[in-house]
Amino acid sequence: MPWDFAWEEAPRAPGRVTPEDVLYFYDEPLIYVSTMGFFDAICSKIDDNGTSNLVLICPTDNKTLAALKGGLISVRGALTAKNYWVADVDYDYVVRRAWTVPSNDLPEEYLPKKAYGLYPSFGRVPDTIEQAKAFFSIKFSGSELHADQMPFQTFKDLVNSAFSATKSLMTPYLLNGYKSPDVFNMPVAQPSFSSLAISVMKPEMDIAVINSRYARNQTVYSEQDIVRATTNRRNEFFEQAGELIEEINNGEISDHFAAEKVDWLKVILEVSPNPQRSIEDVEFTALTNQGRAYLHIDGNAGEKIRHAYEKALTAPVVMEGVIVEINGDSSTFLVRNTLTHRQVTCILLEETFKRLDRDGIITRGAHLRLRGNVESRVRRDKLRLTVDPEPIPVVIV
Amino acid sequence: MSYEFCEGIPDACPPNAAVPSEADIFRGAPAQALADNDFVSFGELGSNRFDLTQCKAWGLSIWKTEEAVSFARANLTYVRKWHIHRATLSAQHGVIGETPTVPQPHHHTFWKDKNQSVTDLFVHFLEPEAA
Repeated sequence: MPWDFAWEEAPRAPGRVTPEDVLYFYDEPLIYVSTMGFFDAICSKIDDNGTSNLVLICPTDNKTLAALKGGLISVRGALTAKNYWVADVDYDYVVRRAWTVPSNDLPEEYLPKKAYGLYPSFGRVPDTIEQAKAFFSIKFSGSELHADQMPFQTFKDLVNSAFSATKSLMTPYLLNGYKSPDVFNMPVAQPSFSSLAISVMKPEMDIAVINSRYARNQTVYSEQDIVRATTNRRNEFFEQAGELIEEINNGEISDHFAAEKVDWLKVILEVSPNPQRSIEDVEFTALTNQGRAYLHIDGNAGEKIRHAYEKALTAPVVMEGVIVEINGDSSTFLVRNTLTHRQVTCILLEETFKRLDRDGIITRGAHLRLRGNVESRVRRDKLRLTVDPEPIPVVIV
Repeated sequence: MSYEFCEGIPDACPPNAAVPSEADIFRGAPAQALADNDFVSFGELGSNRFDLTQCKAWGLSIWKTEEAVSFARANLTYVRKWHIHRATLSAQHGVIGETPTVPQPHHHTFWKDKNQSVTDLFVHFLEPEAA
């Protein structure tokens, strides 16, 4: 049966798609680069009806090909375009018919799976160049996220989630609680659609203001110190989230793990797959000194994180924070959570409060590890401590 | 061990580096059951799809690991439509050589002895992933 489709037939189909640079060979070239007049295209064989091949043709350029061959982007990423041709190509590589197919209409199965590089040794790699070069990138994928449009509300929600999580995860501890983007800011590259990739670049800052407002013990920080602190926080995220994914891959998230890492669960949950927002996959990437960091959370993992977080809140959990206010009259103190940046009211028995106050544990600026039962509230959560807070040293830069 | 390969095969093909095919291999094909014609190279067919002076055109592409199969299925729509078959070959069946290219450093080719049939050695291993 000859190939036939309802898509618009291309009036001037490319004449030949001769393989000039074979990228994957199995008895014959299955993915290859072909020069078509003034431009190059990546051709991927989709099917064979015994008399001709069905081939996906995607315009490309040298930059994309170099990124593909260098392991910066996936094969899927290299085969991303607004419009494709799907062509009936005979065994001499002559195009017999071709159809112009907008990316929204292209069947998903015509494309490679996400995040696979050209060589197995590349491992999982980003699907866009912006992600590949980002200091830190979050990519949301879902059925509502199309190449040319997405629901405005979804876009707003995802940008808000990405902003909030990036701020929580990347801000150096020194700047915990900062408000002004003039002081510390992480620019983003142009967001790319067909999913939504938010790619954050290295931070920009006003180091004079940072030193005047945030420096401790007369330490003078340089811009490099703050970039290094941000990098350390990013690496800490990949380490912690990596442990979480490993826990999920081993089965379920244990209660102990969830209790110890409840803040990480909370922040990661904010940018995890969410069926209510039609987000099915989320990928995190970063270009680090050790190579590329990559994490993938699918819908199943997202559900496990949500379940573990909700269950963890029914028993004592562990969090870390800095005391920002003390109220002796009510035997409470306020901490700013070092990860979520949210303030939490910590409640103690009166005699415990007095003892810890006397021992100098409860002082403004003290960095504490806290364990207790969370009472979630809209404005400010409460943490009813079940054991004494434990002072911990903090490397702030 | 001496082998006899099909007529027309270029000189120095298979390459000297190819070794007797004593190995587990995987082969993909549209059919659920393989037939002898699934082991006929394009060179043997005299197909004009390739430059038949290339030694690779006279052999059959194979995968040597499950990981290589999974990787091919991830990136190749066409391979996802195939059944995957597995066989343990013996030395007399032919030779296997590394036939790498820059983008595909782990490509292997099997050159079958023309007097051997390997069809019955293959067992069905994986269903197609896509229709």
